Amino acid sequence: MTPFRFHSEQSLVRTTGMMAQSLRALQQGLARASLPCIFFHVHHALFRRSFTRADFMNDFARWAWVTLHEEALAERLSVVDPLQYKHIREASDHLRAIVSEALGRAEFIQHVERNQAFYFQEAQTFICDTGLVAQDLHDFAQMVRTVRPDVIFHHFIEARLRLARDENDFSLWIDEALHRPDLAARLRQLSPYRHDLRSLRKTIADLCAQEA
Amino acid sequence: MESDGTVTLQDYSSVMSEEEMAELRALARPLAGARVQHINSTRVGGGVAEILARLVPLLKELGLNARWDVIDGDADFFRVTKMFHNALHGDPADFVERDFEIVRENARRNLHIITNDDDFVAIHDPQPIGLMDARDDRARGKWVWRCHIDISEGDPRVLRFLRPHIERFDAAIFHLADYAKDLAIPQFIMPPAIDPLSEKNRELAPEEVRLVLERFGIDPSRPIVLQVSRFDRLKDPVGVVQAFKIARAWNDCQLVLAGGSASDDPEGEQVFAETREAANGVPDVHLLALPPDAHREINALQRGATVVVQKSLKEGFGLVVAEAMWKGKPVIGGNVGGIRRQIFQGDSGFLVHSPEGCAFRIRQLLCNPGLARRLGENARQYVKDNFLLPTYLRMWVLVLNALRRGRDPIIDLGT
Repeated sequence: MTPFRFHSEQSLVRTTGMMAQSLRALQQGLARASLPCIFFHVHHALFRRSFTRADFMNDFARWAWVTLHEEALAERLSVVDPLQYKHIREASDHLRAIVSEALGRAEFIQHVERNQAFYFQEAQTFICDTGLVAQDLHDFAQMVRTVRPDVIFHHFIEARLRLARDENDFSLWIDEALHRPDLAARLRQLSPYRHDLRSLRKTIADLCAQEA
Repeated sequence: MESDGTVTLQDYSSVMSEEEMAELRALARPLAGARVQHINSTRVGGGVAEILARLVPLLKELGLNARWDVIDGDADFFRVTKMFHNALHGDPADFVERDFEIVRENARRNLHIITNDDDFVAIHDPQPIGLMDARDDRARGKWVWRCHIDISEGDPRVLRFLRPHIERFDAAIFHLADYAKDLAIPQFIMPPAIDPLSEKNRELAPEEVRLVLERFGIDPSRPIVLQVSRFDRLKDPVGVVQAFKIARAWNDCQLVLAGGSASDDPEGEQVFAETREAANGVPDVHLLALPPDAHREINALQRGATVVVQKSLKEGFGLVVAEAMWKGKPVIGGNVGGIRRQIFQGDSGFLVHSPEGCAFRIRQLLCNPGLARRLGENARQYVKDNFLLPTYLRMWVLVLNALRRGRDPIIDLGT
């Protein structure tokens, strides 16, 4: 049986030189932003939700709410589930359409100061072997409970985009190496966007421990 | 800790798991033996020197051949670079051409520091930036400018002087995205860090905390509201007194404003007097003018506080906020600068815009110990994840890897 090797994912954040001081500029930025930039603000936002309330699915929603006080817009941005899209550009287009619609309805467009601007950023990611190797489901359930949130991010979120299907590294291994399709299916159904990475980790560990 | 006071990675085992240490070593493995030169303008005093004193030995422990050099400068040079510093922060300054020449002359006197056989050269802040003139573009070394200040709204004359130097670097590093400028080189984001092993942040026994509080006439058995900052109008100590007056009408509490000694700063002396005047007749206000090395006392005050306030009207990163958060305290911060990047409203503290807002949050926290405890726990976790020295070290290792490996969005460092 192929063992499961846990990998971690460390990120270095860069500026892109783009910023938005209004909704109009946010709309334009969403159109121009690179895919790594959208990925950062949509998926990496999970790291910034480790304890914050689940109001903000992504950085765009958070900025609309906290800085622009555009609460209706923030709600609509928040409900976008980025994992529903196979390609990050599709998620970006959807977010931009929501911003465009809000702009169409706006009676005036608020401009904020530079220090309250939305800064478009992106991350460079470094993948590293953690040295943790699970030989069976029992090992896996124990190890997954204590790995860092970035390990969960790598195998559960980034994997789905890397594999370009409704799959993640955990479910793939459990299905193909352990031949446990039911458990794999239950893991596939989990969404990190319902909670945060730590809660997701606990849910995965609990599910696997029950089945081990 | 070594006998000479040098820290080792193992000293950070209370904030870093064995897996994290192993990962850090794995991240550093591709850099083994790389020569890394850090250069700044002072060996002692100031946050940059404090951080380099920790960072360089830890990089060595990770297998890099790291060293730290300091440029020489006379009083005239440091007068001009202090003006640069203030002007980059947006304060008006009256430059003459001779000032820029002084900086160029100083760089020429220090060019010998650059040997052009390092793999990486990290220049900290604007003072040594003229050393870029010694860079041999044919040499293999990658150069990075680590800027510890906010230059986003800096004086255009200083920026015009610095920009040609900055844009010859391979990359720049800023604390926050909003501190950066539109530059023609990659710009990484690396927030500053606090050192959990320093006198300012290390664990203290409850007994020591109690003794320090009592030494300053503070009652440890009653709630304490604390602001630690120099007596500066931008830290709004008078606003904190106003907030305390409102809050005290509802809740029994004491206010402690602890700052630097007023005697070494004429404006500080004036603000101290204004604060004393504002507090005149208000019971339970303690104004403490502490010497610059009172780190342990500040640590004890923060640990003894019930609520910590940092009601700045303008702020850089505001590491004093991270210090209090690290001690598990609920912090009420002004909604400005880097404070906004540390406090998530209602989750790891509160952000306020006015003395009234500050008073409201003080009352809320004093009346809800459960809320205060939850915010404090979240705050400590957030600082642990983002603003401690081991994270800062890891960021440096990533930057060096990125400089070597280029702009690929995903880099697999293998085992």
